[in-house]
Amino acid sequence: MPTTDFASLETTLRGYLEKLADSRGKALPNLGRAERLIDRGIFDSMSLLDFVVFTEKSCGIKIPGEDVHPENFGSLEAIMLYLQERL
Amino acid sequence: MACAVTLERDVGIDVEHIGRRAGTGALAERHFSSSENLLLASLPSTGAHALFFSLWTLKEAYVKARGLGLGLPLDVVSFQIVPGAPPAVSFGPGHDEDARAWQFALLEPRPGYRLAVAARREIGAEADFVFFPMVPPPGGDSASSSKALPPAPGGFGHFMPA
Repeated sequence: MPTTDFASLETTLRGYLEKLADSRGKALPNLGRAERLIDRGIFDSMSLLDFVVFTEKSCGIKIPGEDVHPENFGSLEAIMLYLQERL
Repeated sequence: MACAVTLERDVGIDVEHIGRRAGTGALAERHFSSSENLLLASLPSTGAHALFFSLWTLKEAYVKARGLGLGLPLDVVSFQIVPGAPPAVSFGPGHDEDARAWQFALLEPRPGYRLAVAARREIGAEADFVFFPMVPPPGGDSASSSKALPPAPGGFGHFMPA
């Protein structure tokens, strides 16, 4: 099984978060890893599921709906911890 | 901002700006039913984009009415939108709900926006949605600036001036 390059994955996901923020008219400079994404105005339900679909495609996994909650997707740090458990 | 109020029934509401572009195709592929995706694929891009938001707001309104959050797979809830009639729903396998117990409304409260309401009703009974603009649009008549999608027949819903 190939080893996942989590640093590269985080860069990719950060880039998509910036794209989502831009699509909602928000700038996303210097996003902290532990910063709550909903507080930065990035996530509503549509953009959250958009991000989940992107993450699924990037990682080659399916993320069940019951896993989509703030503990797993509240911050970039939480997302990476969740993915490290899944991959 | 929009809110929905009932005395006893489950109700949910959602409003979206249809100007968003990011990820709608991938979202539909992952979260819409096969019949919804077939319909989207048959339309030109502008029509498909508008339909995507109509379907999305209906699904979100239903999920909110059920209080299930994102744990409910959206593709088990499938909508048919026919001009001149309220949106109709069908439920996929494993989702234990009676489609006759739900009523939906789909509207364009302002150009570029979709608003959907989902309400539980007595099976076979017709609920009457009444819409009140809370803040009149600048410089406009609040009643005439909102229109139903599809045009509201009697009993489906209507707008009231503020």
